[in-house]
Amino acid sequence: MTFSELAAIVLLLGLAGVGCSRSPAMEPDRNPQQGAILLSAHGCGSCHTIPGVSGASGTIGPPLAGYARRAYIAGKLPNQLDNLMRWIRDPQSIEPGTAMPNLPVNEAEARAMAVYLYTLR
Amino acid sequence: MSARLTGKPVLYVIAGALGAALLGAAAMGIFIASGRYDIAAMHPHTQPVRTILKFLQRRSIAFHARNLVAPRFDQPEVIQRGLALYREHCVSCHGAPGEGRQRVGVGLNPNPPPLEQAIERWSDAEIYWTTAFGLKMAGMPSFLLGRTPAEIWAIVAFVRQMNRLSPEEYRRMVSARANPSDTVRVQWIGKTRAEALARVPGDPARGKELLRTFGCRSCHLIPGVPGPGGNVGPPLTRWAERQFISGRLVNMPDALRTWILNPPAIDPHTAMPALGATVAQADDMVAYLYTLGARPRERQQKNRSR
Ligand code: HEC
Ligand code: HEC
Ligand code: HEC
Repeated sequence: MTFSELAAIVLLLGLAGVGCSRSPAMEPDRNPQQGAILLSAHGCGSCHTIPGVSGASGTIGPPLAGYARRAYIAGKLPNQLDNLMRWIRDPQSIEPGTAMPNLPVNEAEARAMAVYLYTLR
Repeated sequence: MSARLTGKPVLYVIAGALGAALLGAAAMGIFIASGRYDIAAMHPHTQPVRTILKFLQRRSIAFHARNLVAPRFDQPEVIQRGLALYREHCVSCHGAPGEGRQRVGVGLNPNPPPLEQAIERWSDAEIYWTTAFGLKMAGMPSFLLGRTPAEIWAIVAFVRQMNRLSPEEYRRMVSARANPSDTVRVQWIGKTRAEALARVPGDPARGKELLRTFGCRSCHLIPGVPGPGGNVGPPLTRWAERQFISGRLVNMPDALRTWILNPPAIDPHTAMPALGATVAQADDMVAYLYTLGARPRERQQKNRSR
């Protein structure tokens, strides 16, 4: 095998890796990474900058960096899991008319996303 | 290495490169045929793939829109027409201030982004081109089919205004269309964020000092301003790029001054208190906050026939 052949194979294995992304099991509590995937899939990242979430660099809403340490949700609710899940599923009921729209998020998804946000310190 | 080999190094390099290219193509084919590439829309693209696609998209749009000339479209009737078309065609995927996308727009990859800041990323011609012809590999349909160029320009005219619409102003526009007697309360054309931020009163250096002395830093992380804690309210990083203040007001100098002077007047239940700053002090703080991040600028509109 020549050097260039070897180089080509190494390069291709690298390229192959580029196209593969992992799809972790649907167990949010044990795997915060599931929350990161949902934050990306639901498009939260088109409005929020969220560390560790693919493509999440939006500036429509506040950055969610360090969210585990945040005292309030949207300046209104104490930052606790159940409140955060409520906000993610139905912000309009907490702050009618806010620029964050209601999105079709189910309870398990909201929990997974909240669990991920609480890994951000 | 033998003498024969060293005699024709160029040939060997060429042969090696060709061999590598062939092998590369073969391995790529095998990889694709193996089915290992994850094509699920729910799973994000890997970073290199996204970077390449974004770059391709940006270059292609810039190139193809380079000779388009925007007509005059800053008239209230045109904006109204654009609003109607936007609601018919675009809200389902891109949403609007305070209005979520509908089910068809959920789960697309790439995600249709909100368009409030589209004019901070693209020229009018580029938005026209994207809307008229759509984007391959993105799920962005072409809207020129069955429509006229004038109608597409009307949509662009409305997208420009979206840059300065609060959720409340947007709702008023929508209800004014349904109920024409409401139109008096609607301002169809206004200053965009890029225009409003071109001139910011106040002195940033003084503002930086005031942000410290007023204790803003005890509740907010503010880059460049030293202080403790700062986790009660949102971080004010990249503030100039942020679209809304507290999810209600559009982030422009006048609105930000109003917020700093008296947050509960805007949102009675907010956890941010009024801190007793004077108007001049608030202006200085505003000036500093807009030094954070990239200030929105009008995209170059070289082809505007105005
Ligand atoms: C269309 C833009 C948009 C989308 C999409 C969006 N948000 Fe928001 N979000 C906002 C805005 C604007 C605010 C500020 C709301 C306020 O203060 O009233 C906000 C506020 C928040 C907050 C509170 C932030 C703080 O500083 O306390 C959280 C948490 C949040 N969003 C999570 C999410 C999650 C999770 C998703 C995806 C399911 C999401 N957002 C999707 C615009 C958006
Ligand atoms: C079926 C869903 C869908 C509809 C309906 C739709 N779009 Fe899109 N749009 C997309 C997707 C997906 C993208 C690509 C996002 C990306 O590549 O990051 C996009 C991208 C765009 C962009 C570039 C956004 C940016 O800032 O990067 C513009 C501008 C745009 N659309 C305008 C419109 C307008 C105007 C309408 C209504 C006439 C519309 N779109 C309707 C899905 C849609
Ligand atoms: C007691 C804590 C506290 C202090 C002190 C404080 N803020 Fe706030 N601030 C908050 C909270 C909580 C919010 C979120 C309010 C909401 O969304 O309703 C907020 C929101 C904001 C926002 C909008 C943020 C966003 O993401 O939309 C700005 C800008 C801001 N504050 C600036 C200031 C400035 C300037 C000062 C100093 C003059 C200051 N704050 C002092 C708690 C505080």
